[in-house]
Amino acid sequence: MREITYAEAIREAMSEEMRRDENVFLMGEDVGLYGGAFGVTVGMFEEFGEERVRDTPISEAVIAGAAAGAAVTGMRPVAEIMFMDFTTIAMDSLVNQAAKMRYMFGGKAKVPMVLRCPAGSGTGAAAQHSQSLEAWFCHVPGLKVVAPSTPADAKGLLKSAIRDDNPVIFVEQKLLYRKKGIVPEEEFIIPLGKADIKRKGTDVTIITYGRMAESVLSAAADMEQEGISIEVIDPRTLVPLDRETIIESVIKTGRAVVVHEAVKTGGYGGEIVSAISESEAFDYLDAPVLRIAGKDVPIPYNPELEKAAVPSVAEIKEAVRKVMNR
Amino acid sequence: MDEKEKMVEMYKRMNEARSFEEKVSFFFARGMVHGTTHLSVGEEASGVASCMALEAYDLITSTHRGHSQVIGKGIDLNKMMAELLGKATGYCKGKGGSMHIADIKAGNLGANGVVGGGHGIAVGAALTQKLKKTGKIVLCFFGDGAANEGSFHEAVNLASIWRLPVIFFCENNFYGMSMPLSKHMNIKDIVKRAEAYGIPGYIVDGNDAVAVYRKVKEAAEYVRSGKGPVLIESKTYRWLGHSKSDANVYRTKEEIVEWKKKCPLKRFRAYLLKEEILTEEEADAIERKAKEDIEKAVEYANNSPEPPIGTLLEDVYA
Amino acid sequence: MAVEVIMPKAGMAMEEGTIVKWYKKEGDQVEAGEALLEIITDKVNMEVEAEVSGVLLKIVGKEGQVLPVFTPIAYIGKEGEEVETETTGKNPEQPEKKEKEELKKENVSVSEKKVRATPAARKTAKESDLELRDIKGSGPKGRIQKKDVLSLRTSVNKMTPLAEKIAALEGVDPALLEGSGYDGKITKEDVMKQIGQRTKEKGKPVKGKIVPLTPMRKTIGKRMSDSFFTAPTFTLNIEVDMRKTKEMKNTLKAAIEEETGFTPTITDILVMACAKNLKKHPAVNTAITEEGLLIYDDVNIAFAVGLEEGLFVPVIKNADKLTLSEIVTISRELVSKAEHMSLRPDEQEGSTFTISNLGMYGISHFNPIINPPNSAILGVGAITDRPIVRKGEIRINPMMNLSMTIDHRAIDGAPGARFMQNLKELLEDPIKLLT
Repeated sequence: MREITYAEAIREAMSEEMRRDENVFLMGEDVGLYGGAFGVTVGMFEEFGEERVRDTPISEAVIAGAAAGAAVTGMRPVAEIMFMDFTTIAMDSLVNQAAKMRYMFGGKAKVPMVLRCPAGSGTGAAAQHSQSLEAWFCHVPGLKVVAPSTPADAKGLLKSAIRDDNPVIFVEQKLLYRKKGIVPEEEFIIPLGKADIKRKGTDVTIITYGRMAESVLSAAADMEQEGISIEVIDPRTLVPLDRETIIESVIKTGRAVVVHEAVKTGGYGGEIVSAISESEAFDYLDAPVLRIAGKDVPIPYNPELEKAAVPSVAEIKEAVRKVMNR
Repeated sequence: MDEKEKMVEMYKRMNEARSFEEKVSFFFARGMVHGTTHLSVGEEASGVASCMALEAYDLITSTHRGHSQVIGKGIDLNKMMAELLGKATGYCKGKGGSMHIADIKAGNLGANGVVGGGHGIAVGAALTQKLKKTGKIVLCFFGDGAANEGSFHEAVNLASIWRLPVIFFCENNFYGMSMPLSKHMNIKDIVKRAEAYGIPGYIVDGNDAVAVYRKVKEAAEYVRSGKGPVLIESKTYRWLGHSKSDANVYRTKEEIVEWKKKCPLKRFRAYLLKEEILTEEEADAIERKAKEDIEKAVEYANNSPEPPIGTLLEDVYA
Repeated sequence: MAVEVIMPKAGMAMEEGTIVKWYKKEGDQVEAGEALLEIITDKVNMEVEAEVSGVLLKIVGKEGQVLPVFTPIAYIGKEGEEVETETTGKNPEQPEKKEKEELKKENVSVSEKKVRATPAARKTAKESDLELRDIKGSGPKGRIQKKDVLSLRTSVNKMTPLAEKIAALEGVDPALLEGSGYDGKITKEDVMKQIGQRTKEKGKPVKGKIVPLTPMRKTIGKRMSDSFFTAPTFTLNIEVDMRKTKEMKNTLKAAIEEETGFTPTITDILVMACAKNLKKHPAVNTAITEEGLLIYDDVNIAFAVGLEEGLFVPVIKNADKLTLSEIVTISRELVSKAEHMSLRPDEQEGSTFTISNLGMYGISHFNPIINPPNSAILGVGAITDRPIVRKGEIRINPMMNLSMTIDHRAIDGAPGARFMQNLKELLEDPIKLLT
């Protein structure tokens, strides 16, 4: 099995879909000759040409708006917003236009677009280039939200997202771009709305997604030594959420911790915790469900401060011990 | 349809728009149309004639003040009235209402409740036409108020650099809700902004149906030939308030009366009679027919079922 | 005239049942065949269906109540019809008293500090009919965890064998006893103290926590003491060299896993060996009945499955006619059903011989109690490597003790011994199982 990076996996997904379907095209700031701010689209301009790999001016509102307009008239645009932080400028196009068209037009529109959003901290880019804003979009019916944690998931899910007939917000954590992982060479897709059990365990369920999956898995490996068996569930798609897999696991373990990089207050973790407490799993809980999430602060510049703003492996382990009453 | 037939059809649709909105106003007062509604009485030439200058297969994005526009594009009045009354048979199954009339198959990409919300969609739709080489163009309606939205500038610039087939059609009715143009921008003519984005711009008398028709026809040819977008500023006036909750405190009675004298329907009728396209009797008949058709639409809508509550959760996702 | 709904007798041995949950409430229209409520018998949860259509006029059996079979629990009739309460008078004070008690308890808990417990602990306590207030929590700030409830639940039933025997003899309810032994185990002294007090303070309420026995626990107790005190038993022990059987198991492992998806165990092979051997020794495959000695035609082997919820003894029917793969498949299905409390009564009845294996707990040998109406039960001990002498040489082989308890009324020593001898031969040279 070959290993490729997360960025390469995303590029492969887009290239394969563009070869498969001529309606698929890319647009965004510097995605063309430059190859994207994070090099994700390197080489695609050469293969597909400027018509299908379109550089846009620095105009996020119209990038998202034009993607919606192209989608509703039969194309399958994959638009990139260079930093998820800049989706603020595109919000009307996404929230009031793309997400709503189908419903407010009585089911007569389809908006098959993907908005790729490099997100997250860890690059020293401070407060306006480091946010994880996925929860905002989860709050808008009509949008789907995907946040893969591995190269294989990124590839399989992006292909599904491109083929999906709805607007999909695709969250790519920047620190994952260089991470390598096994990705099958043959074609595959991963359906949206299907969680993955990244590790089997019996004592505590940790639900996490995106970059935090790696930290959680490393905490889980460490804690095996302490005799605590952790099951790690990565929902991969936040909307639609695979509630069954989470609930089934919590019924089994009776303990749950939710981990994400995004700030805690109003974060998607609250939604996951609610899904657990509203479900049959409530009766099996043997400890309060904890959230380990980003601190409620803008991401600071200083590297040590920046690290302290997002969950660490030590914090995750601490939470596990707490739910185990140790 | 030859030019003459088009003119007759145009007159018919302008009358339908007028009758439709009078009816809506009547219903609104009786609580049968809820929420709010934005009437375009006085702007029918702008909305209808611009659409009539397009080919039937071309596309439009409409606005919150869109009744004349979508009727101009050609619409089933029954389904439109049903939608305003929130019925299951409406264009949007009763989920859209006045501000979201859309008929995607017929090229109407939807009215928009957000000022400036249609700019990006129009540009994207135009991109589709260019990529797929369909030969279709897009007409993007917006108002003087929307010309101050960031999306206007982003969209016109993008359409310009990509040479997209889109007509930015500004219905300048001189007020962004209550704020007069003289206060909300420091230029007299919005068309000046075309130059900033390197595209042609024209002013047209928005109450003169023939002038609007000819100018859009000309612009459509230019746009269709692949030369990029055009901005048209159509100066017109809404007789009624911004929405149904408007007390009209920011305008003088005199100003409104003055504009009512320039009624686009009367003006167009005079033209049709003078050019002997219609006789008095024929023109009367068209007006009567328009009223009757609206009554029929009302009847259809009234006899239509309410959307079942079970449809509430439908059509969120494809 | 309203028709009674009764606590049904759902199995030969069932004497009482617990009402788990009513699906219907008073005033509901019900159809014949529709499920009215869920009950627990001594072994399974099951639904009680309406026998007639009509309106559910009155519910007299409350959720959580343990009632003898045939007790009326509800009435179905015509809308507005009066229910004659005379029939409910059979057991009038019981539900009322219980209600009053519950009322009192509720009042107390409101005035007392609220109990700190996890949802899982609450659920387990409710299922086990335990009061959270009586449980000491081991979690932070005294929070009651699930394991606290579980440990109380098991300690309630922990008794020394002697104490159990005396309690059964004297009719002392073990639930009333507080264990003074190790880890709260109930000893002979505890039972004797209780008997002494009972005679001394007749009528006085006994101190201690009252935990009603589940119907299943009661049934196990009754069956075991019936068996123990009725049958004159003796036990035969034999040591078996399991080297070849283990080798055979390992040889067949892959093939059986491939076929069944399950790994074969020593117990599976024992079931097979016993079944073959019983066919050869019909005297052991018997039961004492009122008409005389019943020599069974079929060989149906029961095997004991010990779970937290209690003891299950599902039956592998016609075991002598099954291949090893079939035995593996059937026994796993039965175990799984036992774990899910979903064994049907017919899957637990009709045994002719029973095997009880405690080897997995490291037990070297033990005297099992016969599972009536069987005449014999085989107790299986752990396989351990032990030095043995073969042809004058000391070798280390995997050895296992088999102990068979026999009802002397049915089987004499010599036939029992021959059965054991042949069983040993089969297991020491398992190729003979093919014959």
